[in-house]
Amino acid sequence: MNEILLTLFNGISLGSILLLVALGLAITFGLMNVINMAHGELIMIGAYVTYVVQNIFVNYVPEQYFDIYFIVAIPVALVVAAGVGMLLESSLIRFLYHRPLDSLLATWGVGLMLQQLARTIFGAPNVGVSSPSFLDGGLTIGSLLLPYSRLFILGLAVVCLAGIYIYFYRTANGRRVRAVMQNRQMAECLGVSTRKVDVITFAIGSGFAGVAGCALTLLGSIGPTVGTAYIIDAFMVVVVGGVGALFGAVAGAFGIGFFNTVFEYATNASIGKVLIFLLIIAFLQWRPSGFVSSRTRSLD
Amino acid sequence: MLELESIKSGYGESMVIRDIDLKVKDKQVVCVMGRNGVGKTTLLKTIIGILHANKGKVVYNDKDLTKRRPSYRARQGIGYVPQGREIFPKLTVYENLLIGLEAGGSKQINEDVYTYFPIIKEFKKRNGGDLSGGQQQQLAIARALVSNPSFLLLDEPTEGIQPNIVQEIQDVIIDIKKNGQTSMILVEQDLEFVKNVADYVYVIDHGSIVYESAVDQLNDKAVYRYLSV
Repeated sequence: MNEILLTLFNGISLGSILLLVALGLAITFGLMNVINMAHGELIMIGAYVTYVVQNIFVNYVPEQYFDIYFIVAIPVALVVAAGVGMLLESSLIRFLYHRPLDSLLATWGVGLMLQQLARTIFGAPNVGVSSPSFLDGGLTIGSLLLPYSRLFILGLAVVCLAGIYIYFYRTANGRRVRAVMQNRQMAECLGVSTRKVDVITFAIGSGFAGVAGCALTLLGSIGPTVGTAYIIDAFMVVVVGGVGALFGAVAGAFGIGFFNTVFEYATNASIGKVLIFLLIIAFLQWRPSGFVSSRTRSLD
Repeated sequence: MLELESIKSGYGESMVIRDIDLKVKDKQVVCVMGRNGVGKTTLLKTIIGILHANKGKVVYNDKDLTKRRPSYRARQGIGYVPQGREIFPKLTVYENLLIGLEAGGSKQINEDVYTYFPIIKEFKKRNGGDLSGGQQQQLAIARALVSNPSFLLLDEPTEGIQPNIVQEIQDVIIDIKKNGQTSMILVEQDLEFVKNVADYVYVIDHGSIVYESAVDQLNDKAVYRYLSV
């Protein structure tokens, strides 16, 4: 019984990590159709920002306030990653909007450059970020121990999702974004500045990659390639969820997270990975456009 | 108000419009007629800026718009109702109207559109893509009207639409003209309706203007010559 519950929790926890990593991608790839291979490096930037903020706190802030560094790091990571994303969009990606293969290669190159930059600045070995003390330990339910750090990531994923939902569905900016993504030319003809929408939307997607990077520091040490490990999973989540559907990404993340954990529990790590890939392939045969696909009379 | 000076425009290498001069005076309704494929839609696309003129000038209220983006032109008060309606399918009807406000002529939705098209108020919360073709056309017109544009571009607003809605749309166009606040270029095939609403008529063939006349001096035969297949 306990083992089942623990597996379930692990599944949800992995799902929330995947969701957090994929949320930014759901915006840049799902909504904007940009294949941004440097997304993993934006995650890496978020992780290193957390590391830098931690070091600043170690050196300049009285010790009893040290734990606050993590709370500070989240918005800083968001802003820095968003800034890098904005730079990337306006200097490179905007010239490649209708050339997906070119943008795939170009952003991959950018990713490699960012990795090397991280190596140059922080050195090749991984660096550790010590979790704030309030995330040490865990919640004990019966004989189950649920680590606070995992619960925190789950909460963070939910908060980010809610934030993105509110932004896209409840604000004028979000409405503009949706209009542009549905019919760019007509939105422009009605007075929406599509350039501005592109830059801001890409920056937001990148910013959430930064937040994900921040959260990843809770799970282990970080290095220049920390993002690369997650990029495939992130793309998978978005594709399984349905490109363009935010809530598809939720279903995709928790679906993959859950089955991954179950398979790994039943077999071992590598066989589990193989099984999850097989499952995804089978799923995409059944629903090629993902969980949330839509049909409207828009083309009448 | 709007002036086109020897406009040349088209898609890539293929020139659809060669050398068109056209003038719309303040509060005037100008109809553009012609067979399918002679360049009427291309002309409107060049005015709103989806297509850039290869040669010539688009001047609006003494401002040269030739190199400007469509969003800038929209904010100058040009409303555009494209052929094929181009509703945002997954925005609600109301959100579609709100995007219409981006042109910035007014902060609030002009309530007149609900009087013109009661169906839009009724279907406020539905997705634009779930509306029928005729309803989408009404929404497209309403979306262009919400920001009180000083100039309207209407591309065959009654094409392929059921007769009772055609009547409704024509009544609205006549009403807008009567209000006398808005200039208009209307692409239209129905000569009877054109005579009803237009002040001036241009007929296009093979990308050039082949006939033009004030509506009261219109020679039906000349027009029909260019309209019949």
